[in-house]
Amino acid sequence: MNRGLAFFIVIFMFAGGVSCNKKKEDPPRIPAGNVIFAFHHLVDGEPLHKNELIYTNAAANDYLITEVKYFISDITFYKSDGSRKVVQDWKDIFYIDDDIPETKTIRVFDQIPAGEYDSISFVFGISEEKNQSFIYVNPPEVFMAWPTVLGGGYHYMMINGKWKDSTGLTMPFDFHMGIGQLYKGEGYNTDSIYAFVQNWFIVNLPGSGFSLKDQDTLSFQIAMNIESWFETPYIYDHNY
Amino acid sequence: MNQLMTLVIFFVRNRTYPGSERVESPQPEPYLQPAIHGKILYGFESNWNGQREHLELAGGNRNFYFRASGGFKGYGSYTAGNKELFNTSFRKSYVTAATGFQIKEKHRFTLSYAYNQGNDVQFPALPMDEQLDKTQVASVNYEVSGLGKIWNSLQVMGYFSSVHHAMDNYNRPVASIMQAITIVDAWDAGGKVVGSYLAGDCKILTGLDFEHIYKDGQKKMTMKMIMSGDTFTSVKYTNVFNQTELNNAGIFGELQSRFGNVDFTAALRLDYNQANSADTFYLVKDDVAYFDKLNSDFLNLSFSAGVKKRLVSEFYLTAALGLGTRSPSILERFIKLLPVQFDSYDYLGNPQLKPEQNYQVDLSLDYYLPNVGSFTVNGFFSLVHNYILGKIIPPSVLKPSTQGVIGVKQFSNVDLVYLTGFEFSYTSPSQKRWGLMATAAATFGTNPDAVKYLVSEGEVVGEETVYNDPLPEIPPLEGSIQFSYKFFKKRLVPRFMVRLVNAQNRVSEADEEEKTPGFVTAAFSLSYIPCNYFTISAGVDNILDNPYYEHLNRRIIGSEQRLYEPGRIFYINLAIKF
Repeated sequence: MNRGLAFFIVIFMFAGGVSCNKKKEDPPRIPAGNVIFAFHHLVDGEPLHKNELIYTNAAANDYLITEVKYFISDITFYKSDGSRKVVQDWKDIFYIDDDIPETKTIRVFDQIPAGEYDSISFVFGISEEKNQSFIYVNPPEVFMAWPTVLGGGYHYMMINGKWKDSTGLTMPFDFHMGIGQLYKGEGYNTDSIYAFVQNWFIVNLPGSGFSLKDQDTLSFQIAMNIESWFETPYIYDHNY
Repeated sequence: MNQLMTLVIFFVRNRTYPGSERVESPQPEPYLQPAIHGKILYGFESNWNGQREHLELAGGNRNFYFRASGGFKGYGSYTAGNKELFNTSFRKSYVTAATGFQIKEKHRFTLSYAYNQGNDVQFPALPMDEQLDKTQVASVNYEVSGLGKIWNSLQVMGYFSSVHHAMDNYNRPVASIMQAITIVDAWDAGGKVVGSYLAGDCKILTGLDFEHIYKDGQKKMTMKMIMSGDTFTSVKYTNVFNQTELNNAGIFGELQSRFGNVDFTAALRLDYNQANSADTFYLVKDDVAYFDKLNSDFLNLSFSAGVKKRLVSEFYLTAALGLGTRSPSILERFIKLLPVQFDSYDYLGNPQLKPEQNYQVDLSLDYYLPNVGSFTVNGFFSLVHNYILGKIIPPSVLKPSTQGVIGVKQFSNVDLVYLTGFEFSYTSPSQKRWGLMATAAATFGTNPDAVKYLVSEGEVVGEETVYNDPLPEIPPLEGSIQFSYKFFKKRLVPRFMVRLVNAQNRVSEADEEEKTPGFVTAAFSLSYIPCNYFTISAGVDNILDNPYYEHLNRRIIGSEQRLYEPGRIFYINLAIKF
């Protein structure tokens, strides 16, 4: 459940502008601030260049990336006093798509109580309780649907691209993640599925402690190191 | 527009209060001499290739009489004034039959039935179309009048209607992603007993009525996915209504009296309203109950009192005030995720809604001069407590299930809103060869404390209160003028009509309602009656081929595309009567 540690890092944070809208006067205001997350997709420490066959993974496959899209959910802020704040007042599931710039910034609706925080975590994908079929019916999220017979709900992640196979041909790959299945016997006939495996996991962002003052806005930059998917914890070879 | 003095009927525009149920069914009339009459009508409209066919037979005598009719209406796609083509379709067939008996002098008994079927109705404003609609209405009515010196009249009426309604998105581009079909069955049955009698100088009208509504419906969503070359189909069934029932029983009375030159009317109505559902859907999050307790019942009091006083000559002043209490409808209580209002949201019912209470004052001036015509000016102010309005609920609580909508709203009570408005009309004397009619009406609504969600780059990032926000989805100021002239003893009548609609700039900031521009449309018609058996009428609507859209029908749900009304339409109607 700590696979995310390898490829998500908090780069930096800063205090930003003050949000000052006229608010409802009742009940009395609790000191709180705002939080923004900006997502970046990197390969080997550099910003992703899509559709360019310029990358080589740990298995020595030359590859390119065409699409990166995924869900994160249940962003949680852990306070030093042991309390926590789960982001859910407006949205609790966030769709991030490299092709849709506005999805790469999450402006958290929730007012985060001011104070000292130890860390931040989130679910990569969607937890079993919330990952129900047909909760999204509109693009782009609807394109992440996962068949009911395979467990239902939605893909946690889709990384699509191409790689140069061992014969030198450029072949497409769909590196997808969602609910897994356990099959009886050999083969992958859907009739032989006897159980499902929830593959969502919690990402604890390293070095994500912070201090939030009343009416401050903090911005967190989060990076996904794409090459890490092909080497952590196992080296993945597209040829096999 | 807003009359308090009718029989305990209260309504704000688009909101009907108790006691106002209407049953649309044909009513035959007796003939003094045995007779049979018929009517054949054919109509054609250009632009959307509109066709209307109607056949009607009526006849009988003093004691037995009948009326039967059938017909078809069909319309296709139309071109708007901006030359944009809108794919629409409308096909309805209907039959009606009714018969009446005069059991004895002044005792009438009527049975009626109507069947209406719609097929392949394409709604350009909605993300779905009507595949099939079957509506039946049957009624039985007994009336007796002139009973005696005290009891004046008695009416006993019962009705039953059923609707089978299927909507789908099969012909929409989004069906390639997900197909959805919703089928709803509804029944409505009720009746009333109304009697009137005289008590001295007072006329008293009193009665009971009852209504039972039942709705049950299901949505089926189907999604096909291709993964690794295999095609997978996922299907989900959800209830949009789950055996929902609403019962309303009312007792009412109205007193009419005259004191000097003042007519006085007072009305009182008491309703018992009860509703329940077999829903298993349950939505409670963070101690907020959105949809849980399904049963509700209310005892509602409504009343009004008004006076009509002759000021001078034919100049009358009418003033009334009252309270109209409206229980939430079965839709407002139990609907689950369908876009049933004018905006781009799925709606969720609220079983725990409270009734609206409309405190209203009406003032009306009527003036009639035989050679000039009649003028009416009416104004009203109403203060509505527990006004029922859609409130956005966060996607973390519930997500929409209709393609194209942007979120979910739940019917909720707003503590207090204000509505005010006016209506003006003028009608020229009917004995004149020239005819002029003019109307103007407007309603203004205000929500003192509306919640606005702040959006930044497509994300909701906060909320704020908007004070004195206009109520959403209120039509703008509108007026019309119609001029006609009667040639050849009324056998040839040309008419010229102009409709003037103001821009709607008074829009809800909280709802991010869009302003709409004003427009003017003109129409001309000519009707000719060459003989008593034949009538021909022809004309043109939207003469100038103006591109325009109505404020309440301004947008295609799920897009920013404007829904323009039809451009220029030529039409002709031929009618044969015998």
